[in-house]
This record gives sequence, structure tokens and C-alpha cells, in this order.
Amino acid sequence: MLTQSIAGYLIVFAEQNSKNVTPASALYGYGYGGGNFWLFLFWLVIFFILPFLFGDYYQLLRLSGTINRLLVDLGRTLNQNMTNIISTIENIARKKNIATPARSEIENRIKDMIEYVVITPTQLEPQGLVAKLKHLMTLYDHRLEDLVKRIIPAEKPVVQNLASSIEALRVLNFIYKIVMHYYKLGMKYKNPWILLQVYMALPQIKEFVNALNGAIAAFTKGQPIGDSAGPLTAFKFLREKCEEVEPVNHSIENTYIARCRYGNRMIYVVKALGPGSNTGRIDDAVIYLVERCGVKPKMIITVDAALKLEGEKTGTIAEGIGVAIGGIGVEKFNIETIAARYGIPLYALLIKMSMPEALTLMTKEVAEATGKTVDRICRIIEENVRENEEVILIGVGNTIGVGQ
Amino acid sequence: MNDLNIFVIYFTTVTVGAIIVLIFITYFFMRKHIFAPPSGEIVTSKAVTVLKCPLCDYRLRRSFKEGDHVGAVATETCPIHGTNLIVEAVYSESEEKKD
Repeated sequence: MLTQSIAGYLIVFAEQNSKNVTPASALYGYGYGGGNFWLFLFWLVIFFILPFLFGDYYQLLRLSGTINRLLVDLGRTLNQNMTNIISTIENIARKKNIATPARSEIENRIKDMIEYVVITPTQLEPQGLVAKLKHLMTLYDHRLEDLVKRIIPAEKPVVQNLASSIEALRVLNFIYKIVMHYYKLGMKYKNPWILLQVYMALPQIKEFVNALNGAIAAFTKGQPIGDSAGPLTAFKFLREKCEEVEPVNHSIENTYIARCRYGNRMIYVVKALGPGSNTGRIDDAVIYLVERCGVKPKMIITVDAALKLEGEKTGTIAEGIGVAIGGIGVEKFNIETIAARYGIPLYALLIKMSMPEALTLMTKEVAEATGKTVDRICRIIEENVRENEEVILIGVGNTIGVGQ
Repeated sequence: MNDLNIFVIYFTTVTVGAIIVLIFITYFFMRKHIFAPPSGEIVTSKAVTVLKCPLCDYRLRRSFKEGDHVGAVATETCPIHGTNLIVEAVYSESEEKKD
């Protein structure tokens, strides 16, 4: 329609100015011998005024299209993982002959679980905040496992793995809701700048979503993830380097403590109790060893997976001092407190990996790095600890797929 | 130089410039697809379980089976000692398939 009218206008123009008409003047109006004001105005509107007037609307259209596609992908990922978890529950129930609710009922219960909220304690008065956080963390873990047990009363590792899968699904659902919130808000106020905030974080969101997708697959199958590097190192140290390995009796939940001898030195190895998905209560284990058992460690060595920067190689080992523990910092605080109280040196070993590698099935590079980390631990102990002295070695991280 | 020549020079310059910019942008965004491996080679990753004899250095690599975890006693045995192998590692390994 527009093309026709322009063409018609040009013909009329050409007829009226047959002496002066040139292709350039016909096309551009002023300045090329044509001297047609209306045509000049037409192009002025097209090239200069329209972009300024409707630029925001064009941006809105483009950004909303991209974010809408992300939302569709996210929704599909959520549904696929929900189906995956439900199928895993049904398969386990079938194999172990356990009665479970109907599929729709399982789906409803999982939907309730992914909407579960944890309200952090008030920080108006910071005194005792760490204890309150620890209480809430423990409570949340117990509640989540209880809810899974109500769906499928299987053995603990299975329940723990399913609880972690649902926890990852909860995070995925939270991302979906946040993206949806900004999308709806941007469209409601016709504001591209609101959408731009999501658009800028789009690559990171996609990467995190893919990582969570892989994490759910690994959790449902009970496979070790990149974050299991710490417990795997502790396991390898116990199996390959230690002599006279003997478990220590205690009542700390989800935690494994073993005493062993390495080069005539007494090593206390602490890790989460595998192979179910959990991180244990390693701070309680350190407090138990130092304050209840009277262990006088010459050093506390923590081994954990750490996020690498872009350009760093996966499986690189970094050595340092301090407590290598992620999370919200409760366990870190407790171990630092006890180390400072008794003047125990803190050594840390970090195994570098990217965020997707930390959350998904362990890569070969990380698995090989754990062997090198064991050698590094041996060297640190030999260089810094004399014979008959004691050391606490902690394998920090999720112990899924790693026994003891 | 008459008006027609100015128009031709101008139009040609703009057209050539636009084509160059278009080729550059297409190359910049499509280079991953242009230089992707041939369609016959698909790079995938699979879970691998490494089993080790507790008495010697004998190792066996096989695909991951449900229930495998590091430290678990496997059903496979060591051909030298006859003891059950122990799961030493479970990890992902990328492989190239040729159709």
C-alpha cells in the first residue's frame, strides 16, 4: 500500500517536473534538483522522527520477544524436570515395591514443595544470628526430607537425592517466577528498561538454568557432581594413603568421621555421610573432635570445590589459608571461631571449576584433580606436622555419589 | 558532473558499504555455525564408572550403571585376584560419535 502510494506520488511528481526530474531528485526530494518539499518531509519523518518517537516501542517488541522465548524454554525445562523426578519416584517405588500416591497427587505435592519458602531471621540485632541461621538450615533440610518421605518412604540416600532434586527444581521455579515478574512488569508499564535488566543477565540465566537442569539429572541418578570434589578427596586420602582406618563413634547427623594414621601422624578425616546428597554438619564434627574428644590438631585442612574465573583451567588446585567452605557462612563461622579460640592454623585447598561443572556430573578433569589434591595434602602434612601430632582433614561439599 | 552521476556514485557507495557491513555482521554471528564440526560428528558426554581392584592396580572402565557410587563394591571381579572391584570414580567423558 505504502509502496504503491510512493510510486504513484513519484509518477505525478515526474509528470509535473518533467524537465527537471532526475532519479536522485525523484528519490530524495530537496537538494537534487527536484525541490519537492513533501517528499523531503516524508524521508525526514521516516529516518529521523519515527526512530525517536517509536524507538522505545521497537525495543520493547524486540526485548519482549527474546524474554518470551526464554520463558517458554524455562517452562519447558521445568515441566521436563518435574516429569523426570516423578518418573524416578515411580521407578524406585516399582523396584522396591513401595506404595506411593497417584501421579497427579505426587505432582501436586512437588508443586507445593517448590513453592516452599524459608524466611531468614531478622538482622536488626546480629547477636546470635549464626545460631538462628543454622537452626533454620537444619529445620529446612529435615522438613524437605520429611515431605519426600511422605511421597516415597525409601531409604535415606534415595530420599536425600530426591530432596536435592526438588530443591534444584525449586531454584529453577524461582528463576522462572523472577523472569516472569520482570517481563510482566515491563509489558504492564510499556517500559523497555525493566526488560533490559533481564536481557542483560540473559546469558548467565541460561547458563545457570542449564547447570540446574544437569544437576537434577545427576541428583536423580545419584551421580557425583563437581561439588563432590572435597568429599572425594577425603575418600581417596582414606583409601589410598591412610593406614589403620577406624570410624569415630558420634551422634552428629549426616557426618562421617574416621581416624587413621599417615606417616606416624594421626589424621581425623571428616566428610558428609554418603552416598546420599548432603553436605553434613562438618562444623559440629570439628567442635566435637576438639572440645569433646580432646583432639589437639596441629592444623585443620579444608578441601573444597571453588568457582574458577573465565580463562582459568578446570581442575587447577589453589592452596591457601582460611576455611574453604561456601554457602551462607554458618559452618565457616563456627570452624573459624573454634580455630581462633584454640589457635589452630587453617589450611585450604581449592579445586577450580566453572559453575555448571560444580552442579552437574563430575568431569574427568575434576576427578583427576582430586588425586593431585591428595598428593598436595600429603606434602602439606609432611612439611608442617611432626610425627605423633594430629591433623583434621575436612572434605567439604555435597557427597552425592561418594561413599566412605 | 551531472546529477545522475552523483546519484549513481552515491547509490553505489551506500550499496557496497551496506553489503560489506551485512557480510561482516553475518560472519560475526554465524561463525559458530560456519565453523561447526561436520554434521556426522556429534560431540556428546556420557557417564563413566572406573572400577579398581583393592589388591592391585587393575582398573576397569565401563558405562555408569544405576546404583554406582564411589566406594561401592561392584559385581565385576579382578581377573588376577578374583576379588570384587570397587568403584574408584564416576565422571562424565565427552566422546565423538561418527554416524
